[in-house]
Amino acid sequence: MASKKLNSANTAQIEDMGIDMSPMIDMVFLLLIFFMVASTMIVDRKDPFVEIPVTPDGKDPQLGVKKVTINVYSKEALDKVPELAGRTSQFADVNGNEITTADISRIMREAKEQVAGQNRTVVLYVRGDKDALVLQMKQVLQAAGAGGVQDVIFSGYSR
Amino acid sequence: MSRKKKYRAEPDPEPGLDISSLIDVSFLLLIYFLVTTTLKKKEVDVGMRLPSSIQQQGPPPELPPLVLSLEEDGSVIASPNQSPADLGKPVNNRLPLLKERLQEYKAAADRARQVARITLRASNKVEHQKLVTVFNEIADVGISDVTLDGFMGDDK
Repeated sequence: MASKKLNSANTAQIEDMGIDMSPMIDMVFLLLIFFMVASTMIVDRKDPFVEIPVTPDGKDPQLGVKKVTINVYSKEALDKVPELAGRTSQFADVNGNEITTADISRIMREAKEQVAGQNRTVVLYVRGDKDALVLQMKQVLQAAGAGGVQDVIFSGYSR
Repeated sequence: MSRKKKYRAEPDPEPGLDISSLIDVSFLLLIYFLVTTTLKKKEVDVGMRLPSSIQQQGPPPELPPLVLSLEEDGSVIASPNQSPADLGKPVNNRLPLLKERLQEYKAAADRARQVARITLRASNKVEHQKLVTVFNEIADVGISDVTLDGFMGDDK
């Protein structure tokens, strides 16, 4: 049988035991700072109704050029997506507004005027739905060509 | 002698900083960022130039452009007018036979110190995914001068 002295010593030790919270707080702060630093407040103007194709060997987005985004919806998207109901054209500008091929030519001309004298080239950035037809792509390319823009970038997912 | 008990003040408890509210706020912010962060799929570029922007410099090229035909079913045919070679359909968004053919052509163009050019005839009824798969292989080989043939008035 343990003596009273020993018992009281053991009880005091148990009472002093506690979880050291400092590593957890360290980790929380580390994660917090990581997310605060890694987060960027960007205005996402990628049309969610365009499901772009997969391009396994695509390159990182080109910088230093003026990209003019044209969204091309698939026929199925026009039929199924309520937000696109009633549209007759499968083309949209960067804000998702319905446009025609004549508008594409005008937008290209305006973009070229904007960068005139800036040593920047205007590039047509086609965000085409994977189920849209080549015919629509040809229409966009032709309209852009009529607006004086020949450089084209097709958007895709890397996987 | 009086047996008065001397008054002894109780010792002050150990001073400490209450950090529980700090942890609360930290967790709140952490959970906010964890919830609001979305892992977006990365978009990549496949670039090309339309024929009107490709300026002819010097003598006309001796090496003819490689003509490719993208059929409605997605199959790619090389040199459809001369000696057609079926390069197959895309598998997992890749065209290995086309890539081999393009690499051979690019090597030949580099040896001749000429610009490799592609003329692509794509059926209007093909899905964009198949067209982009062909462009993907062309761009990956390092060819950027592509002529997309058969524009308006071609309902093929």
